[in-house]
Amino acid sequence: MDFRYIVEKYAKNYEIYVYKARNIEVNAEVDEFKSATRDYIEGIGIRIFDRCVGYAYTNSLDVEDVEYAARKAAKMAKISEEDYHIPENLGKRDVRTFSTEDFFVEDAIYHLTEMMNAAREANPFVRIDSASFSASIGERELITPTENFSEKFSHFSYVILGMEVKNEVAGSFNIEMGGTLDFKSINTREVGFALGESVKDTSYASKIDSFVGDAVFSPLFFYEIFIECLLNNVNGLNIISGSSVLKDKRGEKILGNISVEDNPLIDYMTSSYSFDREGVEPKRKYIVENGVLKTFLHNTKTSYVLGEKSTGNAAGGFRNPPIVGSGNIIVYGEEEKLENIIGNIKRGLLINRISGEVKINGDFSGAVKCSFLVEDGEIKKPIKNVQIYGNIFSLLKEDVVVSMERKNFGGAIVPYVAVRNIKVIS
Amino acid sequence: MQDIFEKIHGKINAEYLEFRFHRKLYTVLVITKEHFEIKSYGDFSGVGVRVLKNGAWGFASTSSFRYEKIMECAERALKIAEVSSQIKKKSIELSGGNLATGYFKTPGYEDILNTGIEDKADFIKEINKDILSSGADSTKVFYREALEERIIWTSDGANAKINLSKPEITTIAYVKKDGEIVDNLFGVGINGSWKSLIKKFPENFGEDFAKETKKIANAEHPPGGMANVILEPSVVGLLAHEAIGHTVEGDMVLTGCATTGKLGKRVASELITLVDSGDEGEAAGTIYVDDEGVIAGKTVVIDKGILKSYLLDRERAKVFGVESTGNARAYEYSDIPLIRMRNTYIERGEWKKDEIIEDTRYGFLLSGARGGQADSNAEFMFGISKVYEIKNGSIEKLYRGTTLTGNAFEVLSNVDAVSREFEFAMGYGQCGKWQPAKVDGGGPYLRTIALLGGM
Repeated sequence: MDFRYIVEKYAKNYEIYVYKARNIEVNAEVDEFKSATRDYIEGIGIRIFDRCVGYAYTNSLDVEDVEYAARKAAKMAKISEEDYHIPENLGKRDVRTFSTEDFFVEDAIYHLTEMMNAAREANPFVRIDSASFSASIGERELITPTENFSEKFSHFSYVILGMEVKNEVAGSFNIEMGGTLDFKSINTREVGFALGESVKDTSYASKIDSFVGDAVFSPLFFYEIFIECLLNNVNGLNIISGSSVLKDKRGEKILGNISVEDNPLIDYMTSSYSFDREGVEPKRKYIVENGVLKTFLHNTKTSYVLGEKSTGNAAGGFRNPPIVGSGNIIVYGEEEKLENIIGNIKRGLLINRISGEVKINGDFSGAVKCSFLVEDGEIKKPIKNVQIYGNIFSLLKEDVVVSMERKNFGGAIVPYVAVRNIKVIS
Repeated sequence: MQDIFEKIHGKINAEYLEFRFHRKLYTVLVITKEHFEIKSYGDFSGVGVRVLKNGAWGFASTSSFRYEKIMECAERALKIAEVSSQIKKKSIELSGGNLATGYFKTPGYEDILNTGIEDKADFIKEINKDILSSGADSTKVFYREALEERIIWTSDGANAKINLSKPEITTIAYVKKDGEIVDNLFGVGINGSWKSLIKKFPENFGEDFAKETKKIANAEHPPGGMANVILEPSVVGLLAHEAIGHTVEGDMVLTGCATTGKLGKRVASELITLVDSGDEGEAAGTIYVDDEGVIAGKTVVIDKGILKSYLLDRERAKVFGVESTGNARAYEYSDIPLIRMRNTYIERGEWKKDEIIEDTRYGFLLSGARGGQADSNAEFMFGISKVYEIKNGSIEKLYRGTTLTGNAFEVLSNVDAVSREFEFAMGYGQCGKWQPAKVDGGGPYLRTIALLGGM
């Protein structure tokens, strides 16, 4: 269908985003296979730049529905003040985002079962609370008055939640997850095994005394407590709103020796893309390099408001105007074997997750879950009723050690990270 | 549409067949400081088909309303159920329920449809301007609207059409203080009309909200530790939903959580009656009928401190040997129904709010729930926006926000006063459990003991 012809009736400047995907999802609940679903989603998002910007979408590609969406986008554009920005520097890079068309419900069930069996193999006392495997195979296309980019994708993601239950005594649950765009790299067995291992011996957790000491953050916990907070703070939208605490710190040394890279150009990682949601060419870049804040992340709108250039980080699907997102996140630092990191701790914690909150300014507090006391270089016992609090940016101002062992969640590669002087309250 | 469903039903050989036509029209306006960040309209509509065959579920969906496409979809769901049944250990059976027939509609549905987008944009622009001109350094103001049309048809007799309108406005003000950014949030979401929504924002709202934010920014951090606390309705709603409600969802109960095996046992003070209801007027979690076609009525979960019921869909109701409580909900046509809450609240008591304050020698009034987390063992941690110190029966001092932690059942067991004043206060935003759901929560003011975070 000629979408340009339809939209040009309403505006000269526009952006059309077309999405088509076949989705499969299979789920398990309480140690049992639960359900399978399959659907085909297609849709179109139309952004009109007519002195002002308006957006509309529909999940039907019928001519009448597309025309109605175009008319609605034009109407939305007219309701507010001038807001004129048109994406520029459009371009596409080579990155592999597609591996197969041939993936079916039966394949998804196989991988889900493999993940659950691996968890049980690692820990016969594991109870699988829930698990799911999703596949999304399709194509996305971006059309402007002058350009037309398209990209096929095959996206596989999987997650498992479980806890250890011994003699009806349940430990704290933990989560493991993975993802890839390459069906040959699906590692459901590895992810399930990791879940079983991570909850081992947590059924009989015990209380400990308060102390100030070292802590090793698991890769997933480090991602949740630091990377998500950092990404919020460098997001152009939060720079504009003023809610970012890093708003005026570009070029300054804000951390110790940690580096964080945003790289959307790694073959088959789940946050890879050959053109961003606005058609801007993606780039590899350091957000933080050796502790120095190097860049904010922008789409065309946020860069326009701040008088900068888009960093190729426009993100989102057809159901929203482009937001600001990130590519694959890679964390670097001074490396050491995990065994040695733990071996050097006199008294500290190995933390897998917290039930609590992390504020945008980096303040965090919460009860540690599925975590362990480390003493004299050894993991001693699982712990309960223990809280931690502090500020993650302050903790990482000191140089820290990261593990050689890294976890790849699909869209991020993150090591274990050891920090000092964390406040532990019980 | 029901004609198509009936025709297909005659051709699909299954124990149970469920069709859900689901049209959702969304409008989103977002202002960040002076800029309109988003002005968006969307239509996400289609048909979801769920089939129970040989004791296993199959689900498929299509965005087309044509007979051939819906038929293809039903056949695909049937095939998935057949494949699934080969690996499923336990067969699924369904309970009955109070099945719905007829037409159900939000009062004021047409008012939202007939109010122009310009009026809605002007209203939030005015609020934004007032907040900024009254001293806030930055703002975010959201208007979100979802108009829903659903037809639920099941092979065992449900046939209901439901129209819902769910508008909401959320405001955030930011104030800088000594290099730190302090924020304050207020939101209202309802099941109702545009006129009802804007009544919740009095003329001087923007000015008062900005002033309140500046007061919070100038306040000290509260002392931490165990304390007498009076929870206001938004905090009570969050406690009822997040820390209690999730632990009584049938799927969670079967996994193993704080309420497993506790039906008929005391879990809270006798002053506590906790309800989940799908029909509470303008409360935002009102749905009238759930997505399995069951009337979404009032379920008393805790009656005077005794655990009386779980929240169930038809599958889990069969496991417990009872009827569905009407808690099966799907967010959009392409989502499979899950057990979700609707409007979850604690019922009002005998005290006046002022009497509870006057009766408190030393403690804190906690106001403005800011979200949080709870585990399946009912241990929770919530963010609180404002903490008012109470000394000798009167409110003395405003402190900054903090965290509230504890075990929800212990907190409810320690309740010794519950107010007559009552409010739903969680209608903005959504609950997340694999898929979003519009819910509401609230209650009276109640006094208990809990752990406050400090600095």
